[in-house]
Amino acid sequence: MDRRATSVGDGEPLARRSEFDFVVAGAGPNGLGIAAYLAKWGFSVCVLEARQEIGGGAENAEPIPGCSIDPHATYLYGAAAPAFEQLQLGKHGFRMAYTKNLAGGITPDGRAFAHGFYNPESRLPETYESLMGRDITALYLEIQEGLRRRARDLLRAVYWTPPYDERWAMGPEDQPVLGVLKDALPVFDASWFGMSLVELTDALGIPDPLKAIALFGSWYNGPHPSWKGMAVPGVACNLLYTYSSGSPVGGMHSLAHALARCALAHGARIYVNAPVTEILVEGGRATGVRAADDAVLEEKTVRARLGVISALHVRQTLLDLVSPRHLAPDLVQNVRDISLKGGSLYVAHLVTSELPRYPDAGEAFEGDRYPSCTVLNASSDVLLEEMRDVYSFRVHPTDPDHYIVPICVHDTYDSTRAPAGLHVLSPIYLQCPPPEDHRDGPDAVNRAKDEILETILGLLERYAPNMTRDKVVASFVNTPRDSEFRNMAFVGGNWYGVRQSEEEWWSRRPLPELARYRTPIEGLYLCNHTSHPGGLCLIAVPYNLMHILIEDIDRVAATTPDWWYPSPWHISDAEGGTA
Amino acid sequence: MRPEEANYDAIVIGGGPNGLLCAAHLARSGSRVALLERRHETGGGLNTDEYFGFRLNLHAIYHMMADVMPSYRELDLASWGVGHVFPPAGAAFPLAGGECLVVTRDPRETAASIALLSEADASCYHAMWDEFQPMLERYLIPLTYALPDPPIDQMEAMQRDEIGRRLAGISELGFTEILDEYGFTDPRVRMALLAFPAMWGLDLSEPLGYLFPLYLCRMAGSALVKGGSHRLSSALLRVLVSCGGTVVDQAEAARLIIENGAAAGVETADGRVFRAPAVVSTLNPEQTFLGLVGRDRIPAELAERAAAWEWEERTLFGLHLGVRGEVAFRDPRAGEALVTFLGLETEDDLHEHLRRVDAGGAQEAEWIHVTVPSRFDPTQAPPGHHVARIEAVVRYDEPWDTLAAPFGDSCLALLERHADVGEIVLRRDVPPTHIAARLSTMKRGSIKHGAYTPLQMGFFRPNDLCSRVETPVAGLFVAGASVYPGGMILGGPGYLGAQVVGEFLAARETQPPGAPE
Repeated sequence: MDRRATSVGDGEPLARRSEFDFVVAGAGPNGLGIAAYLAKWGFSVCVLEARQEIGGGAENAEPIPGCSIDPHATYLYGAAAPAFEQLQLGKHGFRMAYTKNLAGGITPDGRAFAHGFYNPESRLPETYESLMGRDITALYLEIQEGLRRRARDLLRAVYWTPPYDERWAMGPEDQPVLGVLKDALPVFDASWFGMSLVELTDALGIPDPLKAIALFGSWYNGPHPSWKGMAVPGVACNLLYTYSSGSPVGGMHSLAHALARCALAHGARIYVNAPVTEILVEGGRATGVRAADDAVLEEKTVRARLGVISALHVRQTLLDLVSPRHLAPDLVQNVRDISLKGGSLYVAHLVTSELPRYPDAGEAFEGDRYPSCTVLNASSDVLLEEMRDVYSFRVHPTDPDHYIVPICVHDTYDSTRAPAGLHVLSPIYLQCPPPEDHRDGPDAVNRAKDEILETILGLLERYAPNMTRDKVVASFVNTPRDSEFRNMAFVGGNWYGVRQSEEEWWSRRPLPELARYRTPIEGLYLCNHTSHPGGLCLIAVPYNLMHILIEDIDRVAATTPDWWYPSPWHISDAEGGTA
Repeated sequence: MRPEEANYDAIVIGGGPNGLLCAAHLARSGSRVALLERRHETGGGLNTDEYFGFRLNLHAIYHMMADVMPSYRELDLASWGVGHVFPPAGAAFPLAGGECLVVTRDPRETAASIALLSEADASCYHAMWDEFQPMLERYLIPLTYALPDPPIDQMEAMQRDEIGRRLAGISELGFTEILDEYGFTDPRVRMALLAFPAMWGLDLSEPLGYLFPLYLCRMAGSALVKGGSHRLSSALLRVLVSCGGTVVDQAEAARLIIENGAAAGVETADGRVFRAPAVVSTLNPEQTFLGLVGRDRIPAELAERAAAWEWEERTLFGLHLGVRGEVAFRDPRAGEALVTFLGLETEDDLHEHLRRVDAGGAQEAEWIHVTVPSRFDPTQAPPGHHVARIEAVVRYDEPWDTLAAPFGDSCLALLERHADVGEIVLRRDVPPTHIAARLSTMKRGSIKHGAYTPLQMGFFRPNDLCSRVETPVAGLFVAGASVYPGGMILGGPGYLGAQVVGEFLAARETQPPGAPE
C-alpha cells in the first residue's frame, strides 16, 4: 500500500541518503527538467537549489494579493518540446492558457497591426495588406504557411537536437537541420547561414513594421539582429513564440511546478536553501558536490555515482565550483572570456485599474484581438537607435524615442493572473547594457530606476491616453542588478547566459569544446541556458543532454524506457567521427 | 491523463499547512490524494515571498511546536531539509527606564531578568513555570494532537492528578486573572506576560486560560524555519508528491458533489471535476458549509452555526523591510530575541492600547513587535543586508487604502526610536485587507480563520457537530485552522484530519463487496 517505497526503487531508506546516481546543482527549468528525465528514467536523483523556492527564471511573484508578475520568463516558447509528452507534464498539473492574438505593434507614426501565427481570427492578411501592400503580404503568408506545415520539425531540429561537434569533418551546411529548413521554406538558401537578420529581412524585401517586429522578437529572445550568422536563429526565435501562443495557466512558475512534481513523483529529492559550493573531482572524475555549510541538509557532501549535472552558469560551474587544478589553463581563460554582452533587461511591472486603450489601433485590437504583447514604437529605426545606445555607447537609452517597449499582459486570457477590476502589465522589458559594461558604472541603471520608469509611463500614456498616472495602482521594477542579485545564474543580469553571436551560438555555445554538454571532467555535464539552445524555458537542454548521457553512460543506454524518443536529427559521436 | 481524470481516495481542499499535512499523511499511508489549491503556490500562511534576496515571511513565522509536532518525525521532514533556528531568547521588552525584560526558554534566565524589575514577581514566575511545564507535557501538548472531547469529559479527565486539577482551574480564568492567581504585581512584568495572548489578538479577559501556558512557554522557546516559513510547506509538498499525491494549483473549489447523500467529489470554479469518496475541507466554516456545500444540503442547525461563525476582532498590520546594513537595537539584549516588543510600558498601557484599537480610528502604531529573521538565519537576506518584519495589532475596519502608508511610517518611526536602521532598500506595507485578499480563508484578516472565544474553541471549534473532523455530511471532513485545536501552525487539524479520514477509508476497504455505503 505504501507507494513511497516503490517510487524509490533501490530500497535504501530515503531519510539519511547522501549518495545518488545523479546530483543536479540548480532547480531552474533546466535543473528540474533533467531531474525529471533522469528520475522518470529510473535513476535516483538529488537536486540542490540555493534559493528558498524552485523555479529559477520560471518564476512568478505576487507583490500585491492576486496580482501575478513575471520577473523573468513570460511566454511559453517550448510548445514543441518532447518533454510535454515524455514527462507527461499534463498529468503533473501543467496547463496552457492560449491567446488568440499574441502580439501587436504600433509604429511611431500611428500605424497599428496584429502579429501572430496560428490565429486566423486576427485577420493578419488584411492588416498586412493595408500596411505593406499585396506582394509582401503574399510572401509573408507563403513563409508562414511553410513554417506552419513544418514548424514543429523545424523547431525540434534547431532547438531540440544536440549541436554537432566542430571537430567533425562537417560544417553547418552538412547538418540535418538544413534539409528541414529547405523543406519548410522554399525561399531558403544556404547563404542565410552567413547573414544577419537585418540583412535577411532586407534581402527578402520585408518592410517596416513587420521588419521591426521580427528584429525585436529576435533581439529580445537572444540573437542580435545585426550580427552576422544570426539570421536563422533569429527566424527560429520568431517562430518559437508564435508557435506556442501563450503562457502556462498561472504563469511560468507553473512549468517549474509540473517539472518538480514529475521528478518528485519518480523519487527525486529536491532540496532548497542548499547552495552548491564545490563540485568534487577525484581522479579526474566528478564524484559529487559539497553544499554550503549553512545548507539545511544532514550531510553536506552529496555523492554522485554516475554524474554531476550543473544547471548553473558555465562561468559558475567551471570557474567557481571546480578547482582550477582540474582544468587546462586555456579552457579557464576561454570561459572567462565568454561575453555577457546583450540580454540584460530592465523589467517593469504595473498594476493598473484599466487596460491601456490605443486609439491608433482601432478595430485591430478589439475584443479578444487585444494583443497579449503590444510593442510600442515599433520601428526598426528606433530599435537600431536603442541597440546603438546599449551596445556602442554602452549606456541605457535615455530618450523615449530611442526605446522600443513591449507591454505584456496575461490577465486578458488567463483570469488567474489578476483580481477582478485590476490588470497586471507585466513584464515591460527594456534592453540595458550589462552592469559591468555600463559607461557610468554597474549601479547606473539602478540609479536611473525611477527615471526609466517615468519614461515608460510617459510613452505608455502617449500611445494610450487613458493610462494617466491615477490608473497605475502599483509599480515594481527589477533591474539587471536586481535580477542577478536574486538569480545568481543570471550573471550580469544577463538572461541569455552568453552573447548570442556567431561565436557563441549553437556548436560554439558556450565554447566549441563544451558544446555537447560535456566538460573536460568526466561525469560533469552542463545543463544550463549557457548551453545550446539557451534559456526561454524550452526544456531543450535537458532533452538534448539525455542524448549525450545515453552515449556516455552504459546504464543510461541499457535502461532506455519506451517513452523516450531521440531527435531524428541527432548525430552521435560514432556517426560524427569522434567516438 | 489529466489530474481530474484519475481516481482518488481523498480530495483535500486548500494547500495551507493543514491541507498539506493532512494530504501528506494520507498519501504516506498509501491513499490516493489530490490537493486542490486556489492560488498559484501552496503553503497558505506558510508564505515566504522573495524580493531580490530578501525573504519576506508574510504570515506565519514563529514556530511554537517545532520540537513537538508529531508530523516532523512521522513524515521525516528533516530528511527533506526542514531545519529550525532557535534564537537565544523568545521575546524582549526594552523599557523606557533602560531595563529590558527578556523571556527565554530557561525559566531561571527569565526570572533573573524579571528580578531586575521585581524580586517578588521573579519568584512568581518560577512557581508558575513549575506548574506550566507538567501541564504542557502531560496535557496541553498531547491534547493538541488528539481529538477533542466534550468539555465535561475533558474536565473529568483532568481530575486524575493535581496538575490536571490546576489546569482545569486556570482554564476557567482570563489571562489577567491568571497573573493575579500567581501573584504577579509589577505592571511592567504583567504587560510583558500578557503580550503573547495580546499579540495574537485574544481578548485578555476571555476565560481561555489553558492557552496561556502554551503561549508563554512555547513562545519563549519558539523557532524560525531555516530559510523562511515556506520551507516547511515545500517539504510537505515534496512528501505528498513523492508518495504519489497529486497537487493541483489554480484550482478553486466551488462546489461539493453529493451523491446518494454522501460526498463524492469536488467541482472547481473552472468546471473541472475531481471525484473521491472522502473530501476534506481546510477552508473556514462559512466557505465550507455555506459555500461549497450550501445551506440547503446541510442540517439547519449546522447552517445556523456556520452563519454565526465569528471572525477575529483584531488582526495584524505588517511592515516588511529590506535593509542595507544593520537593524541594531540600542539595547543589545533586545536584538537577541526572536520577537522584540516596543511601545508600551505597563499593563494599563496595554489595556488602554487595546481599547483604542477596538474603538477604531487608528492613526499611528502604538505597539509593535519586531522580528529580524536574518539576525539568526543569514540566508533570509543577501550578505550585508537584513530583513525585518514589524507587526502591529489593528482592527480590520480602518481606511487602509489611505492609512497603510502613514501607519507603516509610524511603525518605522517607533522602531527607529529603539534601533538604528540602515538604508531601507525594500519596503512592503501589508494591511489586513491584503491578508484577506491573498488568503481567502482569513476573512476580515482573521489569521486564525475565526475568533478564539470559548464558544469557538476546543470541542466547539468550529462547532460541536464538526470538531472531531467528521461532519453531518457523510464523506465530508474538516481539518483547517477553524477546527480543533486551531491555527498558528500547531499542525493539529491536518494531523487529526488525516487520522480520521484514514480510518474512514480503511473502513470502506474492509466492507464486504456489495455492502451498502
